[in-house]
Amino acid sequence: MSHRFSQPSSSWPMALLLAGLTLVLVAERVLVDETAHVVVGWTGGLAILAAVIWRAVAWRRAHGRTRLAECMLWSGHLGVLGSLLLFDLQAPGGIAVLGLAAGDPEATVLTVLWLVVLAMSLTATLAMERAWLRMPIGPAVEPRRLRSAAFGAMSLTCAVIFVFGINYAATRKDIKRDVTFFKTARPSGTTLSLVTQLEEPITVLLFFAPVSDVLPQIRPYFDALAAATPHLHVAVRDHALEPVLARRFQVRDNGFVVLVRGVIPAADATATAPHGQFEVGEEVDTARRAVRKLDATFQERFSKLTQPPRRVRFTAGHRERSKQGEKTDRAGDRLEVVHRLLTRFNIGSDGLGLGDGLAKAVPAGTTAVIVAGPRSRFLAEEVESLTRYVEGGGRLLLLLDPVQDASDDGLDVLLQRFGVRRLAGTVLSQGHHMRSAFNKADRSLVYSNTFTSHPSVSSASRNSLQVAALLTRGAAFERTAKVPPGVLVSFPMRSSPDFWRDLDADLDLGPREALAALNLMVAVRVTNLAPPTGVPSQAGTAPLAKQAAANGEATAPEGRIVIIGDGDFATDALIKSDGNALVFVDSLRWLIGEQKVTGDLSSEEDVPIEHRKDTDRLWFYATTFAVPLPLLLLGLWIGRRRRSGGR
Amino acid sequence: MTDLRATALIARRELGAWLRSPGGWLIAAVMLLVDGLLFNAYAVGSGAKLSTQVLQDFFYFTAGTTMIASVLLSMRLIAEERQAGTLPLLMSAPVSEGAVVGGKFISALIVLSALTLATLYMPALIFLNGKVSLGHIAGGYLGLLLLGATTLAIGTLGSVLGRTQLVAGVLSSAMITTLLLCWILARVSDSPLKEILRAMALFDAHFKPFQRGLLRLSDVVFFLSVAWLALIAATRALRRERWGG
Repeated sequence: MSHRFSQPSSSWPMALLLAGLTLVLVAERVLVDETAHVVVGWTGGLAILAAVIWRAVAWRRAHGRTRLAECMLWSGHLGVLGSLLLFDLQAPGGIAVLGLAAGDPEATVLTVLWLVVLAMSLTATLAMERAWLRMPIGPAVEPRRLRSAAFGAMSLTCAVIFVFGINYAATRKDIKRDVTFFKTARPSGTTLSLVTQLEEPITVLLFFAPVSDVLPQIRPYFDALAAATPHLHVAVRDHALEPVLARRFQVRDNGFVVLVRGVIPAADATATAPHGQFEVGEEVDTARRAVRKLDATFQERFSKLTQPPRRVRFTAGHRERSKQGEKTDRAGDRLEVVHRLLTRFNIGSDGLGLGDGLAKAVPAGTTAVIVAGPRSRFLAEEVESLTRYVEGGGRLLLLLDPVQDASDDGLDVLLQRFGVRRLAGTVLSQGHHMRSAFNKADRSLVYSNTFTSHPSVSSASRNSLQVAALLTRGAAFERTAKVPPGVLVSFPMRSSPDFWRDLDADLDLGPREALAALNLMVAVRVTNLAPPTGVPSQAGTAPLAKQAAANGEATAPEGRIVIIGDGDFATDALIKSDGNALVFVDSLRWLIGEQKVTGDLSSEEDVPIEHRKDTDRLWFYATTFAVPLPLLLLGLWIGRRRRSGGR
Repeated sequence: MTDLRATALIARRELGAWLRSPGGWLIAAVMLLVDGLLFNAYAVGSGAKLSTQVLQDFFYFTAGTTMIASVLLSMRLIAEERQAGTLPLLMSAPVSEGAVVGGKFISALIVLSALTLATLYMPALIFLNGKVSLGHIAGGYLGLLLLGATTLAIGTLGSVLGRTQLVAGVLSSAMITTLLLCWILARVSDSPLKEILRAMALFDAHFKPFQRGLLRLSDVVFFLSVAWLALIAATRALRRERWGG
C-alpha cells in the first residue's frame, strides 16, 4: 500500500497576511492623508487577498494529510479576509450600502462581529501556523494537532471575548453602593422635632437628574421628614428640564436642595416665596462630605427659613467672660465656642452694657440676655433693668461664681426677687472631682451627672451615664424662705451628697462645714408675679397678666431664668465637656422657648484620629509586632521541628 | 477521580505544604511587619488625619503588599514542581490540568486570604479610635481579596509559563505591572484603545473605588473575570505542555 505525501507549504502566506493586516491598521489608525490612506489600505487588503489565494493554491496542490492541514490554514486566512469585509460593511459607507443608520442595532452587531471574527480567525491561524512549523516533513503532518491548536486558541479567544462582553455589560449596568456612611438617610430627633412644629407649608425642591447616584442617598432623609408632618412637601426637579424654576431660586446646576416657604406646584416658576438653599453635589465622590453633614446643614437652613430672627445679648462692662476675653484671660477662658453654637442655631448675638441702655431697659427685640461670669459689680439700675425684663416675660441666663469669687457682683438682689439665694462658699467635693494640679485645689474642680427631668437639662439627663457637667470653683443655691407668688423655682442639677461649701477657703471640710447634696443649677419660671411690697406698679414692672391684658393677649408671657453656679461654665475650656455643652444648649433652648427641640444631630462627619504620646507608642507596637512576631516564632518552631525529624 | 475531588485533594496537599514550610510563615510575618510599619509611618502618620483618610491609606499600601505577596506565593506553584522535576510525576497522575491549576490556585488563595485578613487589627484600631463604618472596612477587604485573587491567578499563569521560579516571578510581575500601568498608556492613546486600556487598569480603575468605600458591580466583575481568564490560560498552557501542540 503506497501513500502519497506532499511537503507542507512555507510560512510566507502567513507573513504576507500579517504584513497586510499591519498595513490596513496603519492606514486606518495612523495615516491622515486621504491618498496615503487609500493606497496603504488597499495595498494591505490586496496582500491579505494574495495570502488567501496562495494558501488556496497550496491546498489544491497538496495531497493526503497535508491537504487537510492546508485546508484548515486556508480557512483561517479566509476568516481574516472575511473580517476585513465585515469591517468595511460596518464603516459609514458600508452601513449606507446596507440601508442602515449609524445607531441601528444591526450596525452595532456588525461592529462587534468583525472584531470577533478577526480575533478568532487570526489567533486560530497563528496557533495552527505554530503547530505547522513543528512538522515540516510531509509524513509527520498531523491535522489533528492543527485542529487541537486551533480549538485551543479559539477557546481562549472566546474566553477573552466573554470577559470583554461581561465587563461591558457590568459597566453599562453601573450598579454601585457607597458603604462609607449609613445614617445620613435618617433625620435626627432634633430635625424631626423642628419639622413637626411646622404650622405653615414648606416645600423641599431636590434639584437632581433622575439618574443621579446621590439622589437615592438623600431622598429617604427627606421622605422621612415629609412623613413626620403634612406641612412638608418634597419634590424632585431636573435643572435641565426646568431652567426657569431653577433660575428663580438661583440654582445654577443639579445637586442643590432648595427650601421654599409655601407649596410650589409642579411648574410654578413665578414663586417669590422666601427660600434658602444648599449644595450637595451630584457625583457620589464629591457629594460625600455634604451628605455626611446633611442633617446639620438642613437644620441650619430650615431654622433660618422658618424661625423669626433671634438675638441674645451678653452683658458687658462687668469683666464678664466674653468672646474676646480680657488681657489676663487664658485662651480657654473665652466664649468662642458658645458664639459658634449660637450661629449654628441661627441666633445672633450682641453686647449689652451701659452704652446700650442696660441701666434703663433691655432693648426691645432681645430674645434672651446672658450674664457670663461677671467679676465686678452691676449698678443697681442695671439690676433693676434686668429684673423688669424678666418680669415682663424676658429670658435670662446667669452664669455666676460664688460670692467671694465674684467680689459681690450685685446680682443677689435679682436672685432674691425671684426666690433664689446664692449660698456662701465654693463648692468642693472629695469624691467627685477631677485631677489637675494633684493637690487640694483639685477639690474645687467638681462634676455632677445628677439631673432631673427638667427641660433645661433633658439631653444631659438622657445621657447622664455618659456625660457629666464640670464646674470650677462653683456656687450653690437654695430657695428663699418666701418665694414670691407666681414664681416657680426648681433645681435641674444637683450634686452628690459628698459635696460641701468651703466657707473658710482652706479647701478642707471644717467643723462649720457639712456634707450635703447641693443645688448647682436653678431654673425659674415667672408666670404672674405681683409687684414687690411697697413698690408701685409701673409700666415695666406690671404683673404679667395685667400687662398681657393691656396688650390684648390671651395668655401672659412667661419670664424665665436659668442660673448655673459657675461663671466659667460656658468658657471654651469647659464647654468641650459634652455635659457642659448639653446643659448650656438645652438651657438656652428652654429659655428661648424651644424646649421641645432637644437631641443630637445625625451626623456621619469624620473625626480626626487623635495623637497622644502614650497611645501612639501602643499603636506602634501593637500594629508592628503584635501579630508578625508570633507568626515568625511559629515558623521558626516548625522549621526546627522539621529539622529535628518531628512531625 | 472527579475533577472536583482532584482539585480538593491537590489544594489540601498544597495547603499542608504551606503550613509545614517555615517559608510560608516567614512570608506572612514579613508582609505583616511591612504592613504594620507602613500603617504607622504612612497611614497614621504624625499629624492630625481624618479616620477615613487613614483607612484609605491603609488599603492603598495593603493593596501593594497583597500584590507582592501574591507574586511570591504563586511563583512557586507550578514552576517549583518543574524545577524540582516532579511535574512529570504530577502530570502522569489521572487528574486534569484544570484540577492541577485549580487546586494549586485555591491553596494559595486560602493562604493569601488568611494573610490579608490577619491585618484586620489595624482597621479595627481605626474603628475604635476614630469614626469609620464597618461597611467601609468590609468593602476595602473585599477589594483586597479580589485584587489578591486576580494577581494570584495571573501569577499562576506566570508559574505555568516560567521555566524556573525566578522566571515565573518576573513574568508574573511583568504582567501585573502592565495591567497596573494601563492608566498611563490610556493617557497617551486614542479612542477606542484609550477606553479599553483605562478599563484594564487593575488598581487605578478598579481598586480605588473599594479603597474609598464605593462598591461597584463592574469592579467585582472585572476582578473575577480577569482571574478566570488567567486560570483558563494557565490550564491551556499546562495542557499544551502535557500533550504538545
